[in-house]
Amino acid sequence: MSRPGGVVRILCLGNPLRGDDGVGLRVLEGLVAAGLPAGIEVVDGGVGGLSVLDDLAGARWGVLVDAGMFGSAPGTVRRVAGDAVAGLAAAGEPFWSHPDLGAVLALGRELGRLPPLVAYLVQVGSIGPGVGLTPPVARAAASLVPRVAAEARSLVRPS
Amino acid sequence: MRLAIHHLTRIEGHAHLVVDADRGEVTACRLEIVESPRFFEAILVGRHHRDVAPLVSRICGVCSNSHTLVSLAATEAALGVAVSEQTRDLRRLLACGEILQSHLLHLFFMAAPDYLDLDSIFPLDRRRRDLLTRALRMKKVGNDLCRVVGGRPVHPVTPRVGGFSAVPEPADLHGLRRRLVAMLPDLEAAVDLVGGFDFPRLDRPAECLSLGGDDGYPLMGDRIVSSAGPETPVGAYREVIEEYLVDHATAKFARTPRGAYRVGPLARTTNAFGALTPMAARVADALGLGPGATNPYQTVVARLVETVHWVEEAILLIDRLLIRGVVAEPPVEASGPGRAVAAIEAPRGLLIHEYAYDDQGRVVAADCVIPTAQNLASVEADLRASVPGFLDLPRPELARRLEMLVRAYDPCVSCSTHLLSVSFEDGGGAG
Repeated sequence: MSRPGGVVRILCLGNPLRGDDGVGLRVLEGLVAAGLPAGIEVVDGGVGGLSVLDDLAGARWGVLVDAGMFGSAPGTVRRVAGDAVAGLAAAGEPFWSHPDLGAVLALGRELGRLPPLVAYLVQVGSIGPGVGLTPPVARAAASLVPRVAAEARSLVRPS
Repeated sequence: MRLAIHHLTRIEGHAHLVVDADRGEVTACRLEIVESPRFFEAILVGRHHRDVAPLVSRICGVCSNSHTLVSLAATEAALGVAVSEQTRDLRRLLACGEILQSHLLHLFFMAAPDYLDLDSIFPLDRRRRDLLTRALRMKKVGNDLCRVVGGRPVHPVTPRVGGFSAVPEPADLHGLRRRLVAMLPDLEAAVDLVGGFDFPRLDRPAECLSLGGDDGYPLMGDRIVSSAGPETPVGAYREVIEEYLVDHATAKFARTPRGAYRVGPLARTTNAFGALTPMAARVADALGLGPGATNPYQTVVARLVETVHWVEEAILLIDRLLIRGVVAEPPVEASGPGRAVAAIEAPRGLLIHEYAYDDQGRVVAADCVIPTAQNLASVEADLRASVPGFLDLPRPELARRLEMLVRAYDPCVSCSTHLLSVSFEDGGGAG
């Protein structure tokens, strides 16, 4: 549900110890370094789970940034908005890199606990043990920082 | 007949359950722990005391606060560091938060589906969605207690040797207090829910171990209390608890001189029923739980009774902190050598850490005795006792009841596989 007085909360997800799964946190670092205006919060959501519902509680808009697996070339960015975000699990797509996240979002929508959502998913290359992103995913993370920041600003002051 | 359940669900970690029976007699019953060993004690050796609590916190994502708190207590005892009354109260409050997180997670998301005839809580009938809303709301209070005191919902960052690197703001404590009081209707709904659970019958008396010496319901203390009578100083835990290896598990099992024993909610209500808060005692009475409970399925009830208890205790702790005022405390310098043991009641039961430090304050030896590892022998004894009474049931129902029995302990299997002793063929050895 949209909260007129709430913030835009950017929730970055992933496990930086699993290679490209850390892409969300790389974006978080970029956003923090760039600085965000009042009304926008950026949160490290870890590897998701039910805590995602808490992390999004009270937000006017939620922007998710996560690794994805949707069969494209590594580093491909896919943007999903609206009900389609929480509906990804219901559609049976192997989309989220964290398999329970789709179910949690679907549950949150059914319980009326979710703000409107926008999600940015980056196709992973390697998610084996180890720290660091593959080059195409690192480039995608760098390109996402200004894009996510711009989208969050537009949600603070919708045109 | 062989019943084999591979990868039990709705427990933390990975375990198989195998039961063999022949003409009504149980010939084999094993809870096979198949997680990889994790060598935490070996990782600690050589580490400075500042690093120890943050490292052992990673033994578990559910009871990371308990590992942190008992680690700090053992280190402080070894290095002769005294802590303030404020630190003791904040640590108790942090422990309260973790118990609420863990118990509520188990009650609603692990155990409840068994009694509501569901595979998972997620597809709960839409008419009962309020249960999920209540569960999430209560669990968030536990999460926020840990976040406000420990800096994060899991793997706390503020506790350190001698105290805390940051203390809660009074406004945050006031807010938590209001939300704890507001939990009461949700707790009443939880009592109604659990009151409707049809627990299988199983009467198996067992020795129960918990902590004592804390002038209240077990949480932190310096004595190990046994329902069989003897009390043992925590520092002499090896006299009463023997860990041993079995072929079918990567976790160590444990026994007292009298055999398998229980730790955790049912052990604590058995040993300290009279120390429950009045409201928790009323809930226990309403749900038919007494100090002499012998049915391990009723551990689920004991978990709810403890949830009520720790909600009340958390309110009282916050009141005390606010009345006295919470102040920042300076860091404490500490150095070795030293050796000590400390214990805490983690959500799943008695948790013991022992460290020896050298004169540089670095670990030379460590031992962690994990609640789930202590319960494994008791789980197997319960399974052996229950199977003969269930053999006439259809196979799916038999499997369901045995899974429910294992889940009643809320086993944290990944926690339990903390150490594997390795013997090399050339006669060398490593712990």
